[in-house]
Amino acid sequence: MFTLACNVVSEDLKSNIHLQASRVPNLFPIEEWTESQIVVTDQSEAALEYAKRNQTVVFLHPFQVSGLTRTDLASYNRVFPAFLKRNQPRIIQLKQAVESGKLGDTGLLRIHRWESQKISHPEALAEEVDLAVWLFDSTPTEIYTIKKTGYSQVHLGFTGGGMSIITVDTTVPEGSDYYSASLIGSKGAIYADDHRNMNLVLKSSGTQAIRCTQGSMAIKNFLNDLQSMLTNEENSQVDWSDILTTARICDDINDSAENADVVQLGGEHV
Amino acid sequence: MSNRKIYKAIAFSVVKHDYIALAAEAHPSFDIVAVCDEAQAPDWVHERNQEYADRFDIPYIRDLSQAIQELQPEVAIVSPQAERHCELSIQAAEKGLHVIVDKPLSTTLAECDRLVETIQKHRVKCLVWNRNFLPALVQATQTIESGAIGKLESIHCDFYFSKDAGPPKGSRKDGDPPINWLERQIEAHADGSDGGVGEKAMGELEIEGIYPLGYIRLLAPNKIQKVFARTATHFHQANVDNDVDDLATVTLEMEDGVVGSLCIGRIGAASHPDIGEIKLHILGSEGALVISEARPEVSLYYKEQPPLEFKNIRIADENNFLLLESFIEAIEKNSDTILDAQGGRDICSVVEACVRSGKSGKVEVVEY
Repeated sequence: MFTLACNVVSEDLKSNIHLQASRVPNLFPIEEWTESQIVVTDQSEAALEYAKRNQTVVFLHPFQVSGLTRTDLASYNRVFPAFLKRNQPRIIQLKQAVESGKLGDTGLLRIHRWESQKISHPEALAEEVDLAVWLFDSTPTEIYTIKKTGYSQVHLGFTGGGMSIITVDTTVPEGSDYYSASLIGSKGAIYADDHRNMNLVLKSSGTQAIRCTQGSMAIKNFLNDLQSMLTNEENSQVDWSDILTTARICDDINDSAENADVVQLGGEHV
Repeated sequence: MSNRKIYKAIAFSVVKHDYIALAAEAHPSFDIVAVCDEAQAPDWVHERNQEYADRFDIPYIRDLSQAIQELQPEVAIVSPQAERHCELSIQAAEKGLHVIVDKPLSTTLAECDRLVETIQKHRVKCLVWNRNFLPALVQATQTIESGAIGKLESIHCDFYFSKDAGPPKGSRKDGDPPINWLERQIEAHADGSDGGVGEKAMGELEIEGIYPLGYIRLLAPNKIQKVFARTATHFHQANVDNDVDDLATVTLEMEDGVVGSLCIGRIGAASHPDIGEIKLHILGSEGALVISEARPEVSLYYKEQPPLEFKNIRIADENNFLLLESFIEAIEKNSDTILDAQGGRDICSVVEACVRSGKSGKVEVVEY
């Protein structure tokens, strides 16, 4: 049994993390972070403080901090990055479809992410790049990027002919959030698309589409993974190496955008 | 009694598909009076032309000039092998016929340029067949024109055809010869997966690229200036053996800072319950638009349903009728067709740049 507490800015987020933690075996949410074995935080300085006290720390925004801070956090073996994106129900389905072999060789990943909330654009982009690397299970060999204010379009090539286009827009109007990920394999395809998951509100002012959300399953799924790792001391995805790899790729993405040219990272061009 | 003018038309080869000729047959303003082709065309071409002529009880004339001279048509419906599209269209235009030509416009830019010049010189109209009047595309056009999403900033198209194309990649055994492109296409005529029929092997970008690029051209009039493409042979042995793509991603950079992208592939019948995932994602300064090309549709499920039968059936599709209506309007009002020879040529140029980029791994400039 592990006690878990939160030190996050948002009270709503804190309540939600506590609720989800209570659904995970061997996790017991408590209010006082000073007395807890695991602390979940969205503040990097706090994360480093807890780490120095030998507390187990979950840091919620591994892509939001500077490279130096990220490296610092990663140097503590009790600080873990939160992979909330990977743990969304739709993304789990994508990963399982790839790992099951049902789709054959992964060929093409297309992602659209439109956000109206005040989210860090680099963080949103990095989360999607992380997904691409995770789903292809390799790092890109080619990168071509176009960036405009609040908008990134990243084109990745992978060894063996794999390819991905990721568009992230963090400027869409309030209430216009949208996500779509489709993955084409040599034997099948999977489509995780908000367009398929819209319901309708019909009222005098017209018809409005309402999006089915992913709920809070990502937090629960992540905490489940974390406790499993802590309990069994297994190697798991809760690890900084993928975060650091993605951060390096994001640097190359920025280079491509700044130079308006393709960044070649070795490997064959198919 | 309608006062509509009836346009006398001749099918200049009905080899690739018969859908344009059938669309004209179904339209009240067209009367297809014959099929014609060049005498030196191969036997299988003559056989297909003869079959169509027999079906509609019209003559098949193995001489283009003779057919034009004897029957005095006003319109040529051109659907031979892809590499002959421009040549037959040019022969028709030179005799003063308006032209409806199947896609892709050509396998070479030089041929496209020759057609554009001929069309201009003889002041005839040319319609390159497209799908820009599908209900979803009409809706997208109207929504953008209404200003609902503000100024267009980016446009993205997924165009995945869930058709198979012969044996899967990796199926060729040691010692077996590579698949002959034309033989494979002739064989594929039975199930309609012969969009690339002709001597020259074509990838999916070349065969189908005109549809999504036609959508992008329709909705974003900004010219595509640069492309970066990744291309691969991911699915089909025929594509591997002939070194042509069956999967591609393209970054598009257009005038005025508008950007776009295209994902295209012949992804196999198992990868979608219907014809394929075909969508548009469009971002504007004031909002965004997500369009499924298939809609509207109805769903049908029943016991013993054949596995390859589409479960969702497209309805209210008047693309063929509206294309021909707009073609007539272009003739009668001397306006532009919705996709003319110049437009088809420009799309071919984008495709050509994509193929180049796929091979070079570099950003390539589109030539206009």
